[in-house]
Amino acid sequence: MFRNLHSNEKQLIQCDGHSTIRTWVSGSIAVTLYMTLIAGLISSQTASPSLKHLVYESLSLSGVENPVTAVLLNFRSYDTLLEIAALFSVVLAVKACLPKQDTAAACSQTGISTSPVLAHVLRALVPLIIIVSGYLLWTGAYNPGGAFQAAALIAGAAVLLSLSGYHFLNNNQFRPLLVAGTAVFLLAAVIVSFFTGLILQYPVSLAAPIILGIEIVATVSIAATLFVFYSQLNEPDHSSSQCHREAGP
Amino acid sequence: MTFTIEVELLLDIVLCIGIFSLAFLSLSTSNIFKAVLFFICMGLLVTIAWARLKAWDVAIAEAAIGAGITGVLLLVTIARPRIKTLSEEASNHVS
Repeated sequence: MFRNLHSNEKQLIQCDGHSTIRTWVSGSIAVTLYMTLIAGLISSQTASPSLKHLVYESLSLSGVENPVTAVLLNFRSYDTLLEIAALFSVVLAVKACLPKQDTAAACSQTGISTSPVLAHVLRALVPLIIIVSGYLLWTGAYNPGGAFQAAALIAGAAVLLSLSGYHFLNNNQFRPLLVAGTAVFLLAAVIVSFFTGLILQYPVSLAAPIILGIEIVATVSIAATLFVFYSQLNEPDHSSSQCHREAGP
Repeated sequence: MTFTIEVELLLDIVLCIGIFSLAFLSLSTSNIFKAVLFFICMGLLVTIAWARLKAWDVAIAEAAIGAGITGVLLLVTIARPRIKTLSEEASNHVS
């Protein structure tokens, strides 16, 4: 990947001679805005009652002990559902509109310059990353952590594996993973409405397992989504059988 | 008069100056590769800023996503072959 960056250095994006007056005007406007915001922040009093007390009072009803997770996945779970649905629509757009690299050009590459250092380090690092992300997912109920952080870690591990030559993930195997997060969240939202009368209103005794189940599926789904963003840009097209690329050593 | 400077205030001032200067440098360099690298460094400083604001979840997410995912996506994007504009394609056909 980094080999291509040197060849693109000739295609620099140059600023075409911006005038100094424009720079000064825009710079002074930006500085004035920034100073106004800072002055407003310093001089403002917290007039409204802070929501922190409300959250801490209802924390026992939410099923988790971390107030951030309680707000994200119980009190304002509708926002999180819409967020995951927005990620899902973006991944649909990415898969539809970003073509993968030309298959012929990809097959002519004899192989990514896999440095043995990277491969060796990843043999130890990727299992550790999986364990740490599982820990972050589990501890999101008690400490800072949660589904998004765990998903970002797994996506980082998948990108590292892809950079070291392990093109192990086929496009078609990804589709159920991408859909699962949104689907399970929606299903949970609708199913609890049969028991409590409102969608996304978890019954208090079952709130913790429901939140954990949603978080597990959301982690896998978001990790797959973030990896698809990367692989649409960098990996050659695997769905065609014209060139055979097998997993590295 | 003697001023006692707290270490935390010094750290906050350094973070502010660092974030703003990295953002300005990222937008003003002419080399796109340097701009992406400045953006990744700014992401690291923003992670520390989130930690200073005691928003631990956001700090973890910013560290993983801001530097890890967004940085890699930007690097991969600028490494792709450049899309030709219409005028360049026309000039290629003519010449």
